[in-house]
Amino acid sequence: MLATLTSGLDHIGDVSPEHLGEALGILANGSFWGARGNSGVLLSQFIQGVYRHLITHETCTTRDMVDAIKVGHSTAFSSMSEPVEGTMLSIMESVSLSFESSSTIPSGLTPFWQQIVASSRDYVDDTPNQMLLLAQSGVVDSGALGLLTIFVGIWAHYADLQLENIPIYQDIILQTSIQTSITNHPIASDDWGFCTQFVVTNGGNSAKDLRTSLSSLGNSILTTELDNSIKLHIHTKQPQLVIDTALGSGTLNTLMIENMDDHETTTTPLSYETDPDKTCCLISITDDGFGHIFTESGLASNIATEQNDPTFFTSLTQIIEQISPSDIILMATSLNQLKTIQHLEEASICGSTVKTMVFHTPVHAICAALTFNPYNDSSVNFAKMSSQASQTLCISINPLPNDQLPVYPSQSIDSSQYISTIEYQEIAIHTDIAELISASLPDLCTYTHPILTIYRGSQTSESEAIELVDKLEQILPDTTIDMLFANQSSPLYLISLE
Amino acid sequence: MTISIITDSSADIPQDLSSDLGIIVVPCHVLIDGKDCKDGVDICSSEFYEYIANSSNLPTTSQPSIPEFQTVYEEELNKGHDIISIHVSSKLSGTVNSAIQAKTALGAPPNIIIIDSMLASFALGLIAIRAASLVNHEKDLASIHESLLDLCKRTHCIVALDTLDNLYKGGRIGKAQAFLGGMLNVKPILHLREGEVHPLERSRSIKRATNRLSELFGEYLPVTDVGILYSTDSSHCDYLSDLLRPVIADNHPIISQFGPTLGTHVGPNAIGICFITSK
Repeated sequence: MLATLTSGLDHIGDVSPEHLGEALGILANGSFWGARGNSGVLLSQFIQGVYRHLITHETCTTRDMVDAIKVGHSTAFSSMSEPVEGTMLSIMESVSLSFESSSTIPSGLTPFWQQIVASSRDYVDDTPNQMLLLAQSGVVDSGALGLLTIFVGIWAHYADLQLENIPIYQDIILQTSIQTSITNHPIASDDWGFCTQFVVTNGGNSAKDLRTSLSSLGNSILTTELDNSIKLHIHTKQPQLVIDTALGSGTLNTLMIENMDDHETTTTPLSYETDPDKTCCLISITDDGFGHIFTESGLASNIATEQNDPTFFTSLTQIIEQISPSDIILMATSLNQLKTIQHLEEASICGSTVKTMVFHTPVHAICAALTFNPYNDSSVNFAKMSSQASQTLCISINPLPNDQLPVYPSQSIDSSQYISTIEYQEIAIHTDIAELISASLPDLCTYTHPILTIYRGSQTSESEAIELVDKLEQILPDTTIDMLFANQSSPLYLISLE
Repeated sequence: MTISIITDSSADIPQDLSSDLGIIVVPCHVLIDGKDCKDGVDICSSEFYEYIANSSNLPTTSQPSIPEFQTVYEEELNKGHDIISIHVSSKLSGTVNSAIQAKTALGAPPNIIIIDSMLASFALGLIAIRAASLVNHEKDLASIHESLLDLCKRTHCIVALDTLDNLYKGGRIGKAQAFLGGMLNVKPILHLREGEVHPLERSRSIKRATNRLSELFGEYLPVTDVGILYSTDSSHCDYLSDLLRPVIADNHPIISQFGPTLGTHVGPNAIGICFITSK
């Protein structure tokens, strides 16, 4: 809620709105884009409703404000797929109802907001009686408490009071500390999956349609609309599936994913301790061998995954939570993983900002990763890695005919990542692979201390590979030749020339 | 008033050069198989590298003791000299602390100035050499102190290692651990930044790493003082000198060898370059 409100206020920034409606419009827009979490999205929608009611008002009376709060409540209510009483929605409703039962609405802002605080407080205190989990934990709803805090702040402003001198504020502080200790308890975080948020733009579907299409994939679904954009919030165990489904409704922006589960560590990140000075973390995504090369060489944390792997985000968030970098570079090490990462550019995952890179082969990714430095930011790393990849030649030795080579495309796709493919027919004619490789190399005189690294696949025996290395060393005496077992199912060999 | 320049043996100043310039070098300690050896006194670099090549035990190092500093300081003070004592980065060694304790034990005389160079190896050596030159022209202790602090900020050291094993085994891996990893025959390039060893880049062979040192050096030009360092293979120095020749013209680099203090950590086959940039 703080992030939501801060984003709204940041949008106002140095702008000097000419009237109330304009100010609320900027606040609503800012809170829409910055809304985080279930309560944050609800708050942004509440502000949106208030704005819609007061859009033409240069100023407003307390009567107008009561009506605006009603609209805010109904707007927030309609954004939820399954509205639950006992949350901040109840506060919004209770505030408007409290004035309806009153004979008069205070005209002064100080008594007006004092009454709002008083009626909100009553409902906050009652929230443990309305939700089982809250009752078990003995705490009030955090969203409701957050909204009350905002109301207290507004009241304190008009009454010219210091927050620390207001007893109700002291109670809020006390409740927040209880809340924190309970939230950290396993009972409150048992297998909740991922809090996933994004904005869908340029889509033809309504917010309601989007909610319906995602209803089977999670809970706490909230949608808010602004112009042609829909902001979605969902708690899901399948964020990838949510993303894929939402893509049918338009383009995704400002993706944010938080892991809400307590979990055991199952992946193995780099073998070094967390260092607060590190700004960037490199994570490779592999699907066919090669993963151990990234981890054992210390180049990257690796996630071995297939397409649509439901555990991908679990692995990803575990690595991020252990290293806690501000930036992440996610490397798709072949085009197979493009789909996995293509919507994660600039996403916020567990508070880290994602930059994505797609390499045509793991060999290009390895050479690029050699230039990665965790003490540089992602932009510097991105530039160095891209440059390195464009200087790397990959030779693919394939046992399969052309039409069965979907994994490693020819160099015609992207000249910046050069790939030379020696295919089945040539191997059948030319039995000496070393000669074939040698013939496919560019003029090595243009390279400074060239290094040829041969990554052996699972279909090739070690003795065959050693024999190949011996022959290449004879043919290319001034070239360093390195050989590693990469375990890829195809091709027989992938070779990098640096 | 004569000013004595004192440093420690981790400065890796070639012995004949320190003697010629009158730089007093307080030896660090190298513990080899339980025997305490004074760096440059009880053991020379070639003996040291021969030992680590044939032993599975990694030697340990320690800073000069407080009494050792105290003795040297007293000798110089008794001669009526002021003292500038410049040492290896306090983030890498307790040497500065020993020196400060020794000064305190002597009543903290104001004419002993202790400088934490935030540097190591011959990068520190270059500063000590500059200090020796400065005291010949400038007699004001405070202004020399100020000049040296400025020089320290403009001094850089970049080193390519053949292996991180020694840093790792010696427990001095620090931020360089980011480049830890056995596969791919990776040669880490490290640099000194703010008194600490930071990872800079990885290279796939020591030859390539040497080329890279030359390229990185080029990014700092113009420079005034250049030193080249090696641990076991001086041919790397020759190669690097050849690479640098076109860009440094008559500014011949001083060749130095990582002594036992740093050699314990950088290991065999390391190559480095240190330099002071122009203002």
